[in-house]
Amino acid sequence: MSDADILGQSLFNIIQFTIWGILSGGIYALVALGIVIINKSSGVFNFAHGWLMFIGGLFFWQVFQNGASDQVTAGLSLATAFLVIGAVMSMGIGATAVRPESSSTKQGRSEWQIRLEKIGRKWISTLTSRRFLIALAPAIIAAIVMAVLVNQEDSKILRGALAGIVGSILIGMFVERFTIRPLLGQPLLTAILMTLAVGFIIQGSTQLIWGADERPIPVFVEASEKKPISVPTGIDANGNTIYTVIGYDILPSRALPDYEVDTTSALGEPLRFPRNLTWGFGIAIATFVAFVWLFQYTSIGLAMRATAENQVLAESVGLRVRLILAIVWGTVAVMAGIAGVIQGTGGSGLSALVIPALALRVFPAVLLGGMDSVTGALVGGLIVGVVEQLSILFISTTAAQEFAPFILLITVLYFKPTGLFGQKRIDRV
Amino acid sequence: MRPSGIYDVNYIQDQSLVRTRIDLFWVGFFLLLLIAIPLLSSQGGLGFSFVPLRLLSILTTGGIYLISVTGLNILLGYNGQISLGQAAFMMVGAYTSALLVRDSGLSIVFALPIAAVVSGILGVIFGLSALRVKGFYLAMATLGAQFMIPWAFTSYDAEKISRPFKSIGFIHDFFRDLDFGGSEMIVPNASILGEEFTTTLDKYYVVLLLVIISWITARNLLRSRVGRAWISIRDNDLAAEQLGINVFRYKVMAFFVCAMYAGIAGSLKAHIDGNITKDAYNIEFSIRLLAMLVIGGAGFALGPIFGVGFFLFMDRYIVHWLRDLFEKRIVEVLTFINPANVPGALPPLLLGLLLALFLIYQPRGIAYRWAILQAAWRLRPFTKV
Repeated sequence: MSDADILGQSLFNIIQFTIWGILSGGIYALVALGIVIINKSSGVFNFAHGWLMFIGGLFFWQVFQNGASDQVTAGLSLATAFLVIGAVMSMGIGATAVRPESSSTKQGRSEWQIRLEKIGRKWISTLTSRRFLIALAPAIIAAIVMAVLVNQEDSKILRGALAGIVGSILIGMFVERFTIRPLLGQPLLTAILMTLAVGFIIQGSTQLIWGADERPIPVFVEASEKKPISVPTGIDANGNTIYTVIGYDILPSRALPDYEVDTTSALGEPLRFPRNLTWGFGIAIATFVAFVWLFQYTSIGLAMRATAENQVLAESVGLRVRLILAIVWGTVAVMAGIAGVIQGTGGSGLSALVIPALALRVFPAVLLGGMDSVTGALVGGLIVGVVEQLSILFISTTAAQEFAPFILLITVLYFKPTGLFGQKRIDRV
Repeated sequence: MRPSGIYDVNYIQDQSLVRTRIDLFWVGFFLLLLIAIPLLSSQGGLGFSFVPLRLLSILTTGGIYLISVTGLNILLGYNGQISLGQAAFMMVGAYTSALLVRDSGLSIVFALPIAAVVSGILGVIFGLSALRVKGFYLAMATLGAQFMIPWAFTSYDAEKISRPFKSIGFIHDFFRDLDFGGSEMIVPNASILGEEFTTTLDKYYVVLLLVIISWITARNLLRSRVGRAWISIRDNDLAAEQLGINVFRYKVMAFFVCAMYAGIAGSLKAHIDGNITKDAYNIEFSIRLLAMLVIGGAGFALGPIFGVGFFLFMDRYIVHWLRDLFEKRIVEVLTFINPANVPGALPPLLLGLLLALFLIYQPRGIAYRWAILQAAWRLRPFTKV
């Protein structure tokens, strides 16, 4: 091994840390994608993304951890949430369609639609019964599934995921509706400050409800054993001591062993793949691909891209820009929630100190890839992950978290401020 | 705001700091008030004790914030750039000045300007990267500064850094003897001509003097050619460029001045507090300073004063009142709230809510509202607000 030392580190270590970097870079790519999409469509640098991750993770944790204890509340609130989302989604389907009216012809519209339009509620007239049912069907199915799942111990992850997705969508839409939309037409600076304010609001309210403790999400651990504590309470007819169980001693659960690839002959040691990072990478990349598919190949994705390109033009061809923005924020909040949960399965758990700071570390990735490039988000995320892990190896952990990504950021700003894949912006007077 | 019937007939009048006698009266009145307040406290030497010492220390803290926020006002309010690293530059000023006073035995008269210039130069190093391009890249660069600078101070390892310079004696010794004192550094009291400032009263006057100096400097910068260039860049950078203004140079200059003000505030904070706590200069503090400016009114001369005053009032009174309300009443209604979480959760929640509400309903801040009130008073009885 000593023949292959690079800067005092063995070749094995460098390969091992690079692999870990790529694995954690997958999560960064997912976070970066969220920031890029918000920046493309709303034109805002979203500094609250980390807090969206955190609160999405907390929704997951809440139902994952103790769903059965409060079934009725959980079921009811989820069903309500699904109904709301169903309504918004049905309007979302309407949002991609060209507006039905040209005021001369009133064909194909029912009485109540025309009446609604007369009182100036045009947007609600897109909520036709067919669209509403189409959107409601999955919502109802999900609510039923939820009601079944809430009782069962071995479906914890599924029910947590459902709750996390629903909660994230609601939070994302809420944030868009009440903080970003009132600022349409205001300078960019105001919007940046607003995302900072949103971060503070989420920080305060999560701390108010969940406290400041870390919340571990024990997925990749052995099932915690319960060891009964019993005391002798008497002697039965045969002369045997009777033991009564007065409680359970829960043994600390141990993390499941890492996956290993046997490379002993080549590198001297087997390469290790920690479970949470491996699965996290897989889920993150799968989510990434799914959302890219959504943006490239569906009609709502087309509408989103049109909105991102030019809001005024999109509106003038009949797209409902504000509704599309709400859907974009909901989608991005789900992405953030997924990233938050993945991060929460790691060693530090869901921590208000770790996760928002992680999202700020992703800004170098976004800038490196280009503020408006989806490919850039993937490449940038992976590069930042590798840089971070290698600086853990070569310098220290704090350097990896507070120094290396940001020196990368400054370097990018000095040499290629548009990023690797970003568009060059041309200002016209 | 000009009273009716008084017109500017030349540029000297147009640019003057104090336009009318009434303005002069108010400026003099507040100045005298600020000078007289501590004389009525128990340390004033006149035998009065109307003014509690606590008020003096609150005002002192407020003065330090005011200097920092004035710097931000120049950058954000008059040049339209945004900085998320003001706390980090304050930290640079604090350490520079503390090291100069502690290790070199320099008086604060020299240490303070040096600290200001050092943090200004460091600011420019970060700012140069972002200011070449249009858009809000400065927010990114200063975000980098906000993480890198505290990291550098926290994890400074004298042995490791000095080793490569072994052959060059004085650099090696310099790096070896540098000591940032772990997580908390004790800072000696400030002194001028061998006289130490130890009492609350002394500290108050030192800060008051610097607030006045930095205030006048800022006003003078803003009514000169430089200030007009900054404002034109804020309003339309393309048009400013067409007028022959070197946009890049003036943006860098604005950021340099902003970081310098942060340096002055940091240096004062170190000497007044008597220590430098590393955790205090985090990104939350930076955003807090920004929030003070936005709530007070960015781009108004009175904005920083209103903002800092509002925050001091909020921190000392409203937060406590809300805390009582939460712990006694609201917890009974919303049972999922644990009373133990309330003290930690309220400040960020309140800050976020206030900032959001001001951005939506009053994006130009309290100072703008004040200007409207003044106009209404001037136009009475034909007022229509």
